[in-house]
Amino acid sequence: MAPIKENISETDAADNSLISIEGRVMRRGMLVLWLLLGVVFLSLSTLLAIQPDFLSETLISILGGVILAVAGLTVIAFKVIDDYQPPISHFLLSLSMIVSSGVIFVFFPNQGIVLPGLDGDITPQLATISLFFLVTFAAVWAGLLFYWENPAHNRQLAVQYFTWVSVLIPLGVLAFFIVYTILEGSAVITWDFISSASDLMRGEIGIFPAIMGTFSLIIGATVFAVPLGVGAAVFLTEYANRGWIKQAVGVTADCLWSTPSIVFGLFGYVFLVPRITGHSTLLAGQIILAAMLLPLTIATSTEAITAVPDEFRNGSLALGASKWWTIRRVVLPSSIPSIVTGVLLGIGRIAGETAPIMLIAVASHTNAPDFFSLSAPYFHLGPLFSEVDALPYRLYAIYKAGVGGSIQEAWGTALVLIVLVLLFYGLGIIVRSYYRRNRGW
Amino acid sequence: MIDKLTTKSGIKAILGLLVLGSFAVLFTFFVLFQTFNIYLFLVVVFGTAIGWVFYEDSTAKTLLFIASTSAGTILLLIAVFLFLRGFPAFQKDPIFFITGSEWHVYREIYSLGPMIWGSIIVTFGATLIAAPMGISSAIFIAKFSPEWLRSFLKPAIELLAGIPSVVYGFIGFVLLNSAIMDYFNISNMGQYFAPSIILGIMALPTIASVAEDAIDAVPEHMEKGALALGVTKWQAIKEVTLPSASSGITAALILGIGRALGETMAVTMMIGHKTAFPSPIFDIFEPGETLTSLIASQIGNASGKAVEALMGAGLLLFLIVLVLSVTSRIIQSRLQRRFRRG
Repeated sequence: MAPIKENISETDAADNSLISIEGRVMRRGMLVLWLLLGVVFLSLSTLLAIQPDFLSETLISILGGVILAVAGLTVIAFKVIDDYQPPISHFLLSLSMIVSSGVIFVFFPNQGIVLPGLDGDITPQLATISLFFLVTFAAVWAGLLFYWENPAHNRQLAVQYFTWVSVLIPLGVLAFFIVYTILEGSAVITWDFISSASDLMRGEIGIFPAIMGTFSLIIGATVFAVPLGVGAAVFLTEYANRGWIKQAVGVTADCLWSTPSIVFGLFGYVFLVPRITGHSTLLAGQIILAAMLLPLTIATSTEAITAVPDEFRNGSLALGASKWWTIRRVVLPSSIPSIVTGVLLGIGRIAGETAPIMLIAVASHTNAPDFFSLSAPYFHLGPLFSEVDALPYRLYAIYKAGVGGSIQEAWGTALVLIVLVLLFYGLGIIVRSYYRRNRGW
Repeated sequence: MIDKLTTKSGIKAILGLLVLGSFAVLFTFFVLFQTFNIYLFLVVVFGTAIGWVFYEDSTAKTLLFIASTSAGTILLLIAVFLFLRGFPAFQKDPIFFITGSEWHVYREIYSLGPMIWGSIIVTFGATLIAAPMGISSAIFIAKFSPEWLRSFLKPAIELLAGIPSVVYGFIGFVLLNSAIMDYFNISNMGQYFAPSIILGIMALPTIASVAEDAIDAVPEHMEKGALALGVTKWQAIKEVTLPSASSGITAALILGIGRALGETMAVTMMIGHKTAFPSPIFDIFEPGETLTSLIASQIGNASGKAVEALMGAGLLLFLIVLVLSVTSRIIQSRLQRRFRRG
C-alpha cells in the first residue's frame, strides 16, 4: 500500500509545483469569492421564496455587477495563474457558472414568479424553481471547486457530483409534475367523478366512461399483442436456428417500436377504419395499440426466455419430452414472471397514448362500453364496433375546447391517468423484484 | 405400417395446406379487397383446432412462426399503405413539397418546408437538453451509483418515459407556456422553445437507458485493468469505458433524436400552429409547427388533397425515423459483436 500512496502525493506535489505561490493564493482567493457569491445567492433565493417582492431593481443591478466582476476576474485568473496548459474544462465550467447565474436573474424578475393555477405570495412552484436553479448553481460551483484543485481524486469526486445532479434534475421534474398534478387534481376527485358519466344538463362532471374506455382499449391490446409477441419470442429463441432470422425480427421490432405514434394513427386511419366499419371503433384502437405493444412484448419475452438456463431444457428433453412440451411446461412457466413484467410496463406506456387512437377509436362523451348485461345473451360484442371515450383523449379534448373546457376536469383526468400508469409500473416492478428474489436458478 | 405412416403424414400435409391456404386467402382479401370472409375464418379456426388436437407439435411450431412474422407484417403494411396514400403528394413536385414555404388549406398549396424546419429546431433543442443530462445520468447509474440506489433509479427513469405525452403536453401548456410568455414578455404562448424543453425531458429516459446499457456492456475486466495501473475510477471510465461504449452512446443519441422527432401530443398541445417559417429563421420564440403536430392538428378535418399531403408528411416522418432506428440498431449490433469476440 505504501508505495502507491507515495506516488499519489508525488503527483500532487508535481502538479502544484507547476503553479507559482501567488498563483495558488489567487486561486484560493477566487474560490472564496465564488463561495461568498454562492452563500449570497442561497440566502437571496430563500428570501425570494418567502417574500417575492424582496429583490429591488438596485439590488439586481448591484448583484449583476458583482457577478460580472467575479466572472471577469476568474477568466483573468485563468490567464495569469496557470503557467501550465489550462484544460478547456476550466473555461467551460466558469462559463457554465456565469450562464447559470445569468439564468437565475432572468428567471427572478423583481416580482418573483407566480405560476398560474395557485395564487398567493408564497407559491410552492417558486420554491421548487429556485431550488432547481440553486441545485444547478451549487453543482457547478462545487464542480469548479473540486476541479480547480486539480488532483485526480478531486476530479473524480467532481464528476461523481455532476452525474448525480444530472440524475436528480429529471427525477426532480418527474416528482414536481406528479406532485403538482396531485395538488391540482385531488380537489376534483370524488367518488362521483370516478364512478359516473358527465351530466351536462346538471353540470356534473364524471370520467367513468373514459376510464372504462381506456381499460377496454388496453385489455384488447394485451389480448392481441401478448400471444403474438410471446409466440414470436418462443419461435426466435427455441426454433429459429439461423442468426439472420433473429436479426431480422429484432430489427423490425425495433423499427416498429420507434415508429412515431401519429404514424400508427395514420396507418389505422387508412388501413383499419375502412376495413372494419368505416368510422372510429374500439376494435381499431385495440388493434393499433396492440401493434404498438407488440415490439416491447417481443423484446422482453425474448430476453426472459433466453435467460432460462439450458439445463432446464436438457433435463426435460432427457426425460423424453418433446420440444413443444418442454417449451410449454418448462420454459414458459419459468419465464412468465419476466414476461408479465415487460407486458405491464408496456401497458403503462400505451395506456396514455393519444395520437393513434385520436383518429380511429375515440369520441368524447360517449357512454361506457357495455360488454356485459344481466339478461341473455349476457355478453355483447357490439361495443367493439362503436366509439369509446378514453382518458388521454378526454384530456386532449378539454385542452382543445379551450376556454370552454373545465381546467379542473382536466387536472382530475390527468391525475387519474397518472395514477393508472403508476399502478401498472408499480405492479410491473413489484413482480420483477419478487421474481428476482424467488427465481429457481 | 409404412402405408399408415404415409397416409398420416399425407393427411397432415393436406390439413396444413388447407389451413395455411385459407389463412393466406383470408389475409389477402382483407388487405386488398377490404372484405373479411367469415367462412374462411371458420376454416382456419377449426383447422387449427384439429391440427392442435392431432399434431400439437407441428401446429405449435407453425403458429409460432406466423407470430414471429407479425412485427414484420405490420411494419410492411404501414410502409405500403403510407406509401400508397402519401406518395401522390410527392409525385407532382417533390422539391417544392419538401422545401416550399407555404401550407395553405384554402388555396390548396401544400409544402412541408416550415414543418420540417420546425421539427429540426424542436428536435435540436430537445437533444441539447436530453443528450448531456441523459449521458451523464447513464454514467452515474452504471458506474457511480450503489446497488440499492440503482435499483431505485432505473425504474424511476423508466417511469419518466411512462408518463403519457398528453399529460406532459397539458402540464407544459398550463405551466411552461404561460411562464415563458411572462418572463420573456412575448405575446404568443406556443413557440418552438417551450416544446423543446418538454421534449428534452421526454427524450432523456431513452438516451439514459440505452446509453446505460452500452456502458454496462463494456466488459468489466477492461476497466479493472486500467484501475490496476493506478488510475482513478473516473480516469478509467474516461479513457477506457466511454471510448469503448462510444458507439452505443451514439446509438442512444440517435434513438433519442428519433423519439423527439416522432413525439406528437406534447408538441401539438404546446406549439403555436403557424405553418410558416419563423423570421428571422432562428427565432425560437415564434409560433410554429412540426411535422407531427401538423398531422395531429389537421387530419381530423382535412379532406381531399390535404389528406394526401398529410399522408405525405407521415410518410416522410416514418422514413426518417426508420432510417434513424436502423442506423442505431446497426451501430448497437456492431458494438455487441466486438465485445463478444474480444
